[in-house]
Amino acid sequence: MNDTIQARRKFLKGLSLGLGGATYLGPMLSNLALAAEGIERRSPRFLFVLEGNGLPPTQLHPKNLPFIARDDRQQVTIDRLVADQLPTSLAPVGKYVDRMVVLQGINGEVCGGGHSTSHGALGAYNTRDGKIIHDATIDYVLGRHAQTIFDHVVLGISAQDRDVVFNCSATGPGQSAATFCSPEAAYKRIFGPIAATDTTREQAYLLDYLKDDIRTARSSLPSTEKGKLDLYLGAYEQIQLRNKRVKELAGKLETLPSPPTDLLRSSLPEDRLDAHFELATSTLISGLTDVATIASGVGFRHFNIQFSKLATQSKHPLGHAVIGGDASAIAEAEAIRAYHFELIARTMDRLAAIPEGNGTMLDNTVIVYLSDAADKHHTQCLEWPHVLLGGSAGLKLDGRYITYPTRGKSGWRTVNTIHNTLLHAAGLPAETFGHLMAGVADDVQKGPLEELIT
Amino acid sequence: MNLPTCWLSLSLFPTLALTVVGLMGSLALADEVSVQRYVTRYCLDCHSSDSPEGDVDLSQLHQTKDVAILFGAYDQTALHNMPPEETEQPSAKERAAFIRSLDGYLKSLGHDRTRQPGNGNLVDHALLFTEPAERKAATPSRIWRLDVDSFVQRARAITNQQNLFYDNRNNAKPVSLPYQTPDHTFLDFASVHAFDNSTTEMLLLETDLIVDQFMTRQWKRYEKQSRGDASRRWCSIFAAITGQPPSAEQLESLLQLHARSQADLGEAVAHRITVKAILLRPNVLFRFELGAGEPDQHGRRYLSADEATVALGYAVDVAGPDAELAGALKQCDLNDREQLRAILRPYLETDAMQARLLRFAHEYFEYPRAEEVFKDADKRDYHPQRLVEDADQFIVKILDQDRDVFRQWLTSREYYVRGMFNYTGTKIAPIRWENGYKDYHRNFNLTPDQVGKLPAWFAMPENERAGILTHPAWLLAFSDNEKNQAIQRGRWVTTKLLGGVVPDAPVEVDARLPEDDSLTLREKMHVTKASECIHCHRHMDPLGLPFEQYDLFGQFRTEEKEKPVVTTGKLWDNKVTGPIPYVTKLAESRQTKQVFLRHLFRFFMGRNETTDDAPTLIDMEAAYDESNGSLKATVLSLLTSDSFLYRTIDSATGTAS
Repeated sequence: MNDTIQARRKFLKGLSLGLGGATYLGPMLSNLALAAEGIERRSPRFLFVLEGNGLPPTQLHPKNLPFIARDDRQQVTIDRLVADQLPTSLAPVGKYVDRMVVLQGINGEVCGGGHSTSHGALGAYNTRDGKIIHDATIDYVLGRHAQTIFDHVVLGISAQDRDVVFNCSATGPGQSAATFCSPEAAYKRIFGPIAATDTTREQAYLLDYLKDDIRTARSSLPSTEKGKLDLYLGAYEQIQLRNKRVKELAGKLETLPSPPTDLLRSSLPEDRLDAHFELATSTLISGLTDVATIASGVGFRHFNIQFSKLATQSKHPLGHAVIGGDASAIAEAEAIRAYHFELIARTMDRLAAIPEGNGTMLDNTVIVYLSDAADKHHTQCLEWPHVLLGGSAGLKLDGRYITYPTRGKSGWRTVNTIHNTLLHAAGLPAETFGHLMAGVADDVQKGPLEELIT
Repeated sequence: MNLPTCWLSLSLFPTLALTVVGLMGSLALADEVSVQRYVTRYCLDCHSSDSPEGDVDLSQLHQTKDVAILFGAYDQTALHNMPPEETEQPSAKERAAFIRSLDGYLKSLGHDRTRQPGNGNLVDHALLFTEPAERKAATPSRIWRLDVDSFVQRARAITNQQNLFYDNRNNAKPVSLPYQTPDHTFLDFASVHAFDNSTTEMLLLETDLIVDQFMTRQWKRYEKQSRGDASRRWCSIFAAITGQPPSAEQLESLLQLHARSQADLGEAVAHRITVKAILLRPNVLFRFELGAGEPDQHGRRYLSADEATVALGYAVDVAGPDAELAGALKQCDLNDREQLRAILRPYLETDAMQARLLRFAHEYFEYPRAEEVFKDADKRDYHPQRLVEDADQFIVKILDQDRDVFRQWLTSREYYVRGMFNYTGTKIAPIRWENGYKDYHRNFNLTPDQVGKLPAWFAMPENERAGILTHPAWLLAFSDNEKNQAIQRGRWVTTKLLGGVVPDAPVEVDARLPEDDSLTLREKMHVTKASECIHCHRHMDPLGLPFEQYDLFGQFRTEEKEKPVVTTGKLWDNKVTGPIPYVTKLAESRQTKQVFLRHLFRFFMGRNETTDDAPTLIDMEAAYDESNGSLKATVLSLLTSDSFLYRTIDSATGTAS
């Protein structure tokens, strides 16, 4: 065991013991302390990366294997992934070929279809073109379970020039979580209490005043209406508590976030995405959250992004051209996807460099890559390619290419089972997540994917 | 008999409204007996405990706490799906009494469904237009989150920056005040909206923008006016932002905030914090409508003068009340309705009121949804936004005429259509130079030689178009990339004109039509005849299929898939042969007019009607009829009604502290 690991363990153990009064940090710090003792974390971190506009199965298909069309897939097949045979899209994560699994053929019809399944991609339900959010999404459920300062952090880019959009993640029925599209705003939100102390002090005065003011206004209301102001008051209390926690933790952390750079203010989608990956990685490393989601052009109103360095057209016409088999459009779509995997590889590099337990942070971080539009521009979610990378004690992410058979054939599985698998890995062995399809047997849509769990 | 799948799935109806859980309920004895009698007579043949259809056992309905079962029974009875039509039917009175009992029971269990947006039609229509023994209409005391457009207007007024939150490319409205009302309902509903963790965080960010502009553009003015007197300065700023001068305590607490933050962070920061604190006060973000004074014999209190000013001001103008209205209302006794009408009458003729009524038309007819519909085919000249703008002209012209508005909206053939070249001084793309907007005009079946350079009013052929429901904008709003949405059109007619109820499609249902290009939409819709679908679709489908007269771009057609297009449907059990006689029949019905008025009520009141509101609706209908169908006269009747002016403590859900 090297000195760095020893030092880290000592530090983390001390950190946990030194904060006896701060009970709200307990679960998170005990998790860190377990890691310091060389004991595996109870649940991994998760980074969800969603890219809009569909993910054609061929773009994940290794060069050395014959591609079998969906209708011809009769049973589960498992092949080894080989670094130099990865398709263009996956080439940037070649060095991690033994730490990933590609899933093909998982059925997602329960999510409906169209240009985007919106919150359904992480919720396993049909949002009817983004109109109905039935329940919390998997990223929030996993994040809430981890009991970190932020339940989860959602970042993204959109074709609309907005700081915040509501497009993929939910904290409950009808409750969309905000996706921060401005890296600068996201940085302030997450690291503000650490990086700019004045902002937090300003907020403290403001929030104290408002809490009193709200309490006064509340007292005049009938009971039916008090709830509205209770919600407003609760939000301020929550923000204040979170700021306090972040600040307390900041003084104890080894790795502080990098100061904001010009990248945070860039208007180029490539730069913004880069900045979001940097932010998400820093946030996960800092322990402020265990779950981050990056939504790259997710949702019908948001996906038509023009990657100016990587493509000659925006993603909507590009998606149509890909469906039409236009070779140059396919090459551009693959270049954009490869860029996402470059950023994923960079995150993996950073995590792999930080010791944790008997290994590194990467051993306890699961990265899930998918498209909110499943397999194509106008999808019916008949199959939903996923890539899982990183590591977790509960998962076998070991360099396999797994193809599931088409609907109705023995061994076919629905997208719910991927969510179930992640829940198992997180120590939440739920049998079902999201909505189930009527008339479909339990063994198709309940429980985890046997091929993935340890 | 097959039980519709939707029976049980109704428990998933989104509960976005803030529900207040009361005491665990039970049916009053009389209700319990009547429910039991109804169930025994009309339900137990299929739904007894002995192998019940669809596993739904209603034998203990009078005692169950299973809300899903109660919701199912309620909706299926209201929808006339149950009892099935081939079996003995209850009388209208029996059905209404059963629904009332279930409603009362659900309320006692904390589920006040008829208050939730989208459920207004569950209230008994006949009772809403029957004069009650006693007139006691009122609205429960409430606070109502500011509409996002009102918030923007206020921010612009405070900062004197008209471009604040403006972006001509994108919808740049603040995200901290999102609408969370369900699809197909009016957006600004009082019971639904508040600020949760997520939106409060956004609010903190977005008010920074307002404070930035305020400090840059307004601060010096206030500083100069106050001549160094801090109290005077903050009084003025407070009054400008909230519309009211501060009380002594409010001013004192503001000054303390300023002093404390100044000592720690300096004067400039303290100024910003104090302005932001005023902006984020509950009384700025919410409209308070609590009522004041002594209650009458029904427990009703009038809105206070300030509350009335705010309520009426926002009803007639998204920017809220102006000083003149505030001054006039201060002198007005709300008991003197004639005086109140006289004060409000001029406001009905303003552009702001026209904008309010246009917004009502947008949300009622839903035709602006066309802008969200993407079409692959023939994309080159597909301009849904322009179709919506043209439809707006159609709506506004009838509003301005203000005669027989409802019937005109449903039947007028006078369409406004933009010209071939309507950009002035703008570079015209080669494609436009070549063919103008002829592809655009195909949506109206207009040929290039019929269209000039400038926009014009066209009298459309009487066998082709009649009113907004045959306008390309409305037709496109209820279409998708590849086809018409006949079911959604039928759903719209069911709920918005006939006052019916359509449950959301059960989540587990694969609600897709077959992808066989050789079939017409009507033929594809045969799948809705499946036993688990037909109970709801038999209501909707025949009401949407007459619009198959138009293709997926809203063009009138006589053929589909090289066969004569079939445009028949069914209305009130009678066959209709096509869209024109169909919408004409709808426009002539008293019932549809009344349902329209119920929606007008919901839009301006921000809540669903209750049976106590019957006098208000009766008066609205009388005002409409007596004024030859003036929408403005009808709105005036509503704004001066007891429902609008009185507030009451809601005995069902709580008491004032």
